Amino acid sequence: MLRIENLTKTYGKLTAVDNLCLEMGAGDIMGFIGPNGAGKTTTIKMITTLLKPTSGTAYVNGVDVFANPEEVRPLIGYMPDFFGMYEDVMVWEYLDFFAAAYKIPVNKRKGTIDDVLELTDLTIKRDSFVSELSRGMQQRLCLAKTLIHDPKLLLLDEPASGLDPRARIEIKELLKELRSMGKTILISSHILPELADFCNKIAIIERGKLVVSGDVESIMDQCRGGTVLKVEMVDRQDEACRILDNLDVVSEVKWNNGCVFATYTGTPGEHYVVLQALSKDGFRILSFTQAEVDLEDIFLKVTTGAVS
Amino acid sequence: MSIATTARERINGTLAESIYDNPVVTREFRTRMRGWKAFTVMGSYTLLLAAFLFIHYLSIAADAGHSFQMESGSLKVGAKMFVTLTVAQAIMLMFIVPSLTSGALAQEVEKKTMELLVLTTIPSGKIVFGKQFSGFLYAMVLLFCSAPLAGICLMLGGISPGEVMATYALIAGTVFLFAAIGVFWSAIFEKTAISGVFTYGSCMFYMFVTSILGESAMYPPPRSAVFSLSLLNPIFAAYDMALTMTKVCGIEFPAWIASVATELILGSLLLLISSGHVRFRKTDKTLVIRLMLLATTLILVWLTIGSFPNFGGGRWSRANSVWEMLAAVSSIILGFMCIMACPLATGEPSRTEKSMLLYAMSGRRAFSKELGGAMSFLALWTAVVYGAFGGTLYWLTKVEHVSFDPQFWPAYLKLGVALVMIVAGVSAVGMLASSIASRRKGAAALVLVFLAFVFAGYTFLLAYHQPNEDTSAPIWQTAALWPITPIMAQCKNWDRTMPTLWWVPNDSWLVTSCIYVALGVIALSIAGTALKKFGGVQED
Ligand SMILES: Nc1ncnc2c1ncn2[C@@H]1O[C@H](COP(=O)(O)OP(=O)(O)OP(=O)(O)O)[C@@H](O)[C@H]1O
Ligand SMILES: [Mg+2]
Repeated sequence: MLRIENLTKTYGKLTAVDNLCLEMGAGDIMGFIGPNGAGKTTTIKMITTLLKPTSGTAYVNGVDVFANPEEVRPLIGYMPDFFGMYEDVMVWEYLDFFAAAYKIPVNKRKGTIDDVLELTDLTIKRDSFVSELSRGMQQRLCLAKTLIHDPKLLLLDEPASGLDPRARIEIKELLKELRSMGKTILISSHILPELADFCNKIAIIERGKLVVSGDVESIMDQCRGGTVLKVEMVDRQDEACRILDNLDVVSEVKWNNGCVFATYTGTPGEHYVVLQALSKDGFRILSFTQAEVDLEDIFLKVTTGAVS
Repeated sequence: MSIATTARERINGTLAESIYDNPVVTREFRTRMRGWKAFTVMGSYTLLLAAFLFIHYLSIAADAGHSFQMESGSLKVGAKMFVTLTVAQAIMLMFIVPSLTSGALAQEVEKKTMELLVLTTIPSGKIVFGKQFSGFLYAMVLLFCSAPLAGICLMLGGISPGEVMATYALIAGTVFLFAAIGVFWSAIFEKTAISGVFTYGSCMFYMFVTSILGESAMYPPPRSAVFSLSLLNPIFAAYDMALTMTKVCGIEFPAWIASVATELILGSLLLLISSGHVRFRKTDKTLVIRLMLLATTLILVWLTIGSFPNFGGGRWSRANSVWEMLAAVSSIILGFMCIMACPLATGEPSRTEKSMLLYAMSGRRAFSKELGGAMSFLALWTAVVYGAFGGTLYWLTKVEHVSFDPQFWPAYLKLGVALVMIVAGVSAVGMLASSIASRRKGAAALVLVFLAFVFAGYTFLLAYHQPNEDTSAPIWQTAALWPITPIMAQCKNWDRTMPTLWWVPNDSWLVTSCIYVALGVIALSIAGTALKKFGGVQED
């Protein structure tokens, strides 16, 4: 669906994107992660044909982005990190404008607009002026605009930036729905947990260079060397730590707030041995779970934290 | 969601479609006509005009009380009031129209809506045209608001419906051009404030220059050679000139048609250039712009030379005026060449050619989209315009039964050679500029700086050396830097004010040609080296 080959962009002496290679299959949701100034926006803008690369190229659906920008534009839906809105039009007029600009036939426009409004939960705001929408609603409207021509590839540059937690969750729900619709999505962010539960691929970029890329699970294993188990218990956490530390399959143990975290490095799927070890000594265990996927850790581990 | 838009499914935008289903026009009109804003503007526009007319009417009425000419026929109240209406309307629109379009594209950039617009499949021509047309249409609405007032003038007598229609057409033509100027500057500059200043400046400059043309046509005879263009400024239409006929190459037609057509072509040319600035696209419109400029020059030259019999009331009374005409047309060609030298600098020499000279003169590339063949194109272009000019002139001598000075045709030929050489030299400078500067604007600026330098240098030389028929000046003082030297030499009254040289003034064409050819060769060799050095790779 998307193939990036040796993409490079320099601004004078600064190399914003350095020899980047990436590949995404159809239906992939890729989290594109990096600290401020890593070159995420620059990369995405080059894929959208808005920016000419210094060298290298990208293919969307097999079409060379820089040789045939006109053919690529209908295939992609781009949501910039900073965008403006025509404020003096109504929501449906705004969408109608883009529907017409993407050459959707007149008789299909109304249906299409209603569809994307429904999807982004903006149906009740159909006849409000864009300037009267809240920031989060404007962000959703921009997403609705991005979807209006049914693009195959969505390029979302920090779609949840500047939103309150509730709005973030809403956007997240929306993205999950898009995933179930089978869209290929490249989504950039530096807020990691946000991407955790719906990305299947991750690419981490720093100072223009790709640090790691691949499936979420494999990257996690690669970076951390195991799954973290979370054991919630009433008391005697320090004792439990000592016992777990002696097990061969556990590499690292720590505890806080009444929970013990143990990094399990044994055969996948056989971590019940940890629970068996604890129950022998009559610990009062409240729960035993696999800890939430914590991308923040991966991120800190992989990047040196320097800003280019 | 069943939406089917593939890249291949693109309908070629016909004119009708780009007006009827143009989202840009729709959106602009939705915001512009909503609520009370539009009605307030229309209302105050009409009221203001009505107030002007009423005051003028009162003053006419007061005058009429003391006047001895009381017969209604000679009073022509309607005609007088129509002058007020037209002048007031033209001036008000001159202030309103730039405000409608001068922010068109710059505003999209400032508000960060441009990226999203550019990524849609809408062609850039349609964006630019939509911006211009919505401004134009709004001004048309205002213009129609004033129609009842024109009706009152008609009823008061002294003016015919035809004159009113012609005047309105002229105002509409000017509004079209002004709207295009606004879009043009807003495409060039990314700040609305700057594009606003440039738009108002250009529109005022246009009104000023055209008022000189109109002024010179107002008092016949002898009428100016550019009589056919005297109505470019709509204000003059009101002064009894709306329906004047002009005679171009023996064909008689109303002068307003020539003016409106010129404004439409100029406006479209500006829109075309602007559309190349809208987005990062692979193809540019260099060829179309080249051809449009060619057409514009041809029309201007044709109108200028063709309306020549208007001189001295239809007879070619002064032999000198033929020479003056030659100078005028050559200046038009040179002027356009300067403009051409800038678009020349807009192509990108995509690969390093073995020889820059061959690249620049490649006949095969003359009509391609890149820089290659630019010199051949410009030389060809000059030859075509100049040839058309000669042909028209020759034909006119047959039609009007005039015979020329026997020296004329040889001089014409020499001047033609000099012009082609100058064009080649300056276009070589254009190519040099575009190989040095990394941006188009920079290259265009370099060419303009070069031309300014040449002109300033020559003016300095002229001022330094007091020309005198009998003294001979050293060569360095009169290095024939100025491209117009040979043209002026052909003008009979100018050969005396020419700095005297060791060559005969009439032969300055030869020296000028040599100088510009040398300049061209030097420029191209530098350009070739520069390209080799930097590998011909250009930064965006
Ligand atoms: N127009 C420009 N001119 C010069 N340098 C630029 C330009 N745009 C971006 N850069 C530089 O390129 C680098 C990458 O910028 P980019 O905007 O791609 O980062 P980012 O990963 O999107 O960061 P953020 O998380 O803050 O959005 C930065 O160092 C930035 O300073
Ligand atoms: Mg960014």
